[in-house]
Amino acid sequence: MDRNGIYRRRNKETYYMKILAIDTSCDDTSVAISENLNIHANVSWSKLKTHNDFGGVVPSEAKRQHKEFLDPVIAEALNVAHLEINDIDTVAVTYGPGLAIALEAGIDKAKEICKTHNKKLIGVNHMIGHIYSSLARDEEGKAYSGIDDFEFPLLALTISGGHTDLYLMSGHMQFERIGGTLDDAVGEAFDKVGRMLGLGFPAGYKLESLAKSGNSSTYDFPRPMHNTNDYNWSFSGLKTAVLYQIKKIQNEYKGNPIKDDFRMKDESNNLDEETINNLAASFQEAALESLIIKLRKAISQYNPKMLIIGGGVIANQALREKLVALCENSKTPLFYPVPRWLCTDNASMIAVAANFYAKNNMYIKDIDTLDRVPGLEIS
Amino acid sequence: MNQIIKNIDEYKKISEKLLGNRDAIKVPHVIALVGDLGSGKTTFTKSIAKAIGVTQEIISPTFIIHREYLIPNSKSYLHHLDLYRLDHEFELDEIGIKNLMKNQNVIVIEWADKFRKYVDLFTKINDTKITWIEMEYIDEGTRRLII
Ligand SMILES: Nc1ncnc2c1ncn2[C@@H]1O[C@H](COP(=O)(O)OP(=O)(O)OP(=O)(O)O)[C@@H](O)[C@H]1O
Ligand SMILES: [Mg+2]
Repeated sequence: MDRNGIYRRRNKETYYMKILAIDTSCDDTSVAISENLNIHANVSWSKLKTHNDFGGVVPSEAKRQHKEFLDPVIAEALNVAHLEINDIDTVAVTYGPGLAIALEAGIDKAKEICKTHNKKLIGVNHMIGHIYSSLARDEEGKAYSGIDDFEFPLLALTISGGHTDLYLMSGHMQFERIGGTLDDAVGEAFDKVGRMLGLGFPAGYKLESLAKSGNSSTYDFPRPMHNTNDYNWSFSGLKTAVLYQIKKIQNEYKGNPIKDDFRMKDESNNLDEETINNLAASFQEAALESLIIKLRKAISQYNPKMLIIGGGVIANQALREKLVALCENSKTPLFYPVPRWLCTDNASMIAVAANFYAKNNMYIKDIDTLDRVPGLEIS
Repeated sequence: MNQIIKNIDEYKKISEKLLGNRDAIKVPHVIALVGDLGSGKTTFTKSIAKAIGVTQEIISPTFIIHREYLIPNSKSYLHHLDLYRLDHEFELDEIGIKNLMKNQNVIVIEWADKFRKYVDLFTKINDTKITWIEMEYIDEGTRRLII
């Protein structure tokens, strides 16, 4: 092991850098171990197990859970990777965006490891992690999404419970934000509409499965902003359109008391199963079509070498199908992380992104200065 | 005040009346918003931001619970919170909500009624001013605002 450098240089292109990555921006306490872009271990722990939704972090649980489970999760990740802490070159940790107290737990642990074991530290933007998740490879070096490297310029879309942003990338770590949501994120709209349909909160994943049994042309929901000459979205308009439709249906139910308060958890909204399925399917169609309309516009404007998607919503099967059709038509190569665990929040993508921070020498020079940035944006 | 809003541009006047003259007010100001999903809390917050000179796009804080925006030419912030996902009072402590009651901060809280008593206690910190606003769905383009 070359102790002078952070990685051993075998040849011009190949660096063998071992990274231990920590992500505590959300409900999951997640730790990954990578060697270059190969993921040797990805261990996530969540008591809440709301994995398949986009709901975000529950503060009361998150802080306690991260503090309690970081050590065992790190130990397990090292164990899975057959490595010891001494084998690690660099520690990477998410420093935003996310909830301050949750981020803090991971950052504190990362600093502690760096100080005790004399490691270098990299602070990673969680959303850059989502974009770079497409470059993650398995232990044998096979890319999960099928690409070995990005080709520029490319368009990168991040879609999750808190984000809907479109970037033009002109090179590695070079981002220009060209659009995004003006109000609710797309995953948030799934969660909130799921809530209105009486599926609990968050219920994005449940909504997707109900949509499969529904007819997506039952209700003609709007694709807000589809005509605007930009790459922005509004999902609150769509959320409200579903609300209006529900109120309308409720008013049509004669003799049934109308409940127009969606506040209490699991409160019945008097909708029958078929109606719920149809609402779910019609909403999903409108939400996904909104994404596609603006992506189509952006592709024809920027002519990108590829389209990259990251974030929890890309786990949605119907969206994947629409994207495949869009990209076939426009002959644009499409890549996204295929396994579900790589779409939702995870530390592997933080490890992958950290490789590119390292190449740009973006280490934290004075370890104590790394602070959480809850509202961190990509710039 | 009880007002029917038929057009979202009408929030501008209300926000300006509430917060327009910030120089004269030396205390933090909590705007506590109450209303169901889709009643317009975030929409109204956008007009509040404009009224105090914040030019960034205000996006929903539901997922992340708290977003902050610097108010230009000042040391104060617009803090935008959403308590929808919180279940316990101590969670408000954990996200450090009490520390926001300082300077001439404007603190907009969606779903504030989930912790009504607790939010009212903020008025004891640094003479914080508080305005409760209820937003009620009437029909597709119409809401009722009760201040
Ligand atoms: N008179 C009105 N006042 C407010 N919003 C209106 C009005 N008419 C139509 N709308 C629309 O209703 C929607 C309100 O959504 P918004 O996200 O602001 O609600 P919210 O109360 O913040 O919901 P949530 O509980 O999900 O946070 C917007 O799309 C807005 O354009
Ligand atoms: Mg809102």
